[in-house]
Amino acid sequence: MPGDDLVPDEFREVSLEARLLLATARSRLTPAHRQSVRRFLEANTAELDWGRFIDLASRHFVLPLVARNLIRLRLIHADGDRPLAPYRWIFTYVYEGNRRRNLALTDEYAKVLRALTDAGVRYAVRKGPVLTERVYHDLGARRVGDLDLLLARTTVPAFESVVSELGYDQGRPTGNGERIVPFDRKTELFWRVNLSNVTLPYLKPAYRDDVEVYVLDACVDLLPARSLARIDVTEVLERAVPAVLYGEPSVMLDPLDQLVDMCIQLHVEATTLYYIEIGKDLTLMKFVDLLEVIRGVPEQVLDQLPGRVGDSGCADSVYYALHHLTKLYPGAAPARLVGAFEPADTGFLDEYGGFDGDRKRWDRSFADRLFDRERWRTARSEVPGPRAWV
Amino acid sequence: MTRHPVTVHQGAYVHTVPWTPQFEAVLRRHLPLLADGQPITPDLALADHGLTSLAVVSFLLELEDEFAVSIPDELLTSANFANPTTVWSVLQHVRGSRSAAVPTNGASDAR
Repeated sequence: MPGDDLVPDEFREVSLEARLLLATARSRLTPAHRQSVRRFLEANTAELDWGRFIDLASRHFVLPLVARNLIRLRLIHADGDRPLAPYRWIFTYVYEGNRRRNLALTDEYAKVLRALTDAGVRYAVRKGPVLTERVYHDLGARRVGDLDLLLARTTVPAFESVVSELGYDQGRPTGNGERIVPFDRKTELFWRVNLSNVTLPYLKPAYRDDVEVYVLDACVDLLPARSLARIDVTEVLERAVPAVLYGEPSVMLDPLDQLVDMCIQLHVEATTLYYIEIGKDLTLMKFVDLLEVIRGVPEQVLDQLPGRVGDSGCADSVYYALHHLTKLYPGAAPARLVGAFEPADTGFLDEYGGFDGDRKRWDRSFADRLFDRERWRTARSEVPGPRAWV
Repeated sequence: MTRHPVTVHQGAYVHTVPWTPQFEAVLRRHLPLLADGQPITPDLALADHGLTSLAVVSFLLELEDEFAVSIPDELLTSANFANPTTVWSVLQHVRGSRSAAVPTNGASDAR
């Protein structure tokens, strides 16, 4: 069947829309892969539910990326001009809108980085900004939410002082989005006692249609609170490397620490009720991020990853992330690297809920769950406070 | 109700501060897994008796309300709510007693 080579075997049974999404959610598509997508579209365009495709791409936070690929690579055109899909304008506007939104975030977050540097606050930028600028190299392709920073715990008061001067407050937006009001005492208590690896987010109204609020997320540990693993944040900050981000001289995590951080985040979020409930547990964006970051790390540096993880206790998280990544994108990580983290018992790959509830096991495959739009019904988190504003 | 004397170490000094029936009553209400009549001992593992990560929030809210205090951020660590002794120490500290040495966030709460 045309397009059968589009996705790995394990994903042949998922919906047409999910297969198209998986095939187009990547930063680069080879000429052969593009041809494969076109053949798939020519064969299936009548059956494809484009509304469902857009919904799925949005839920997986990759709509700007697939929109760019569909338009720029003319994948939704047969014979050069015959359209294979409706709503070309939606794809155009999503990509362009995301670029414009990220430009606004660039201007704001550059101010934050500059102020922190000027004040001598030591930090390392994580995730979004680093990925958009240094991995995707395309301001419109990846959606960025907040500015994620790693800080030493002792630096938090100085950080608070700097961002407060810039107009940020810990709290939630009011209904009309015009002000930030403090969290209720219950939320404050829960986060401070139980989520001590992160601060409550700092928000500032953006007064823009494309950005509701600017959000700063500071963490003081790469691991979740109560984790039995240990990573020395001081060492991570000492290894952090200079980088120009948002046009500002800045500091980002060293490439191996960045990988470890992403793997831990991916594992924690994929298995935490708090994230399952809001549908942000399993998203293609996280896997595409990981795919692209690994692609950019020289092999001899990648070989040092097992040594970096060492006896920190987070090898299972690295294996969880790499195992699922290579299911989605075969060859995304060298087999020997994945094998280096494989434990004797891999039963934890199907577990969830252990970080913030009772440990349970999924009764469906990874492929089924990944594209199930009703997955959130599975879990209910008791964690009070912020969910997602961006 | 037994009024347990709580031994709190502060530097070279050791103080004995008995917790109050009022404190024990609040605490008992938040320990659903504590058997009726089972005494609350100073080192009772609160998490094992039902004071889960979520339940600790209700407990703190009631504690703050009952004793008319607001526990400062730096004392809001999971280690400070591990057993009756640590909780009582926090409360004493917040109420202005100089008899309690309380680990603060970042000082000794290993995470």
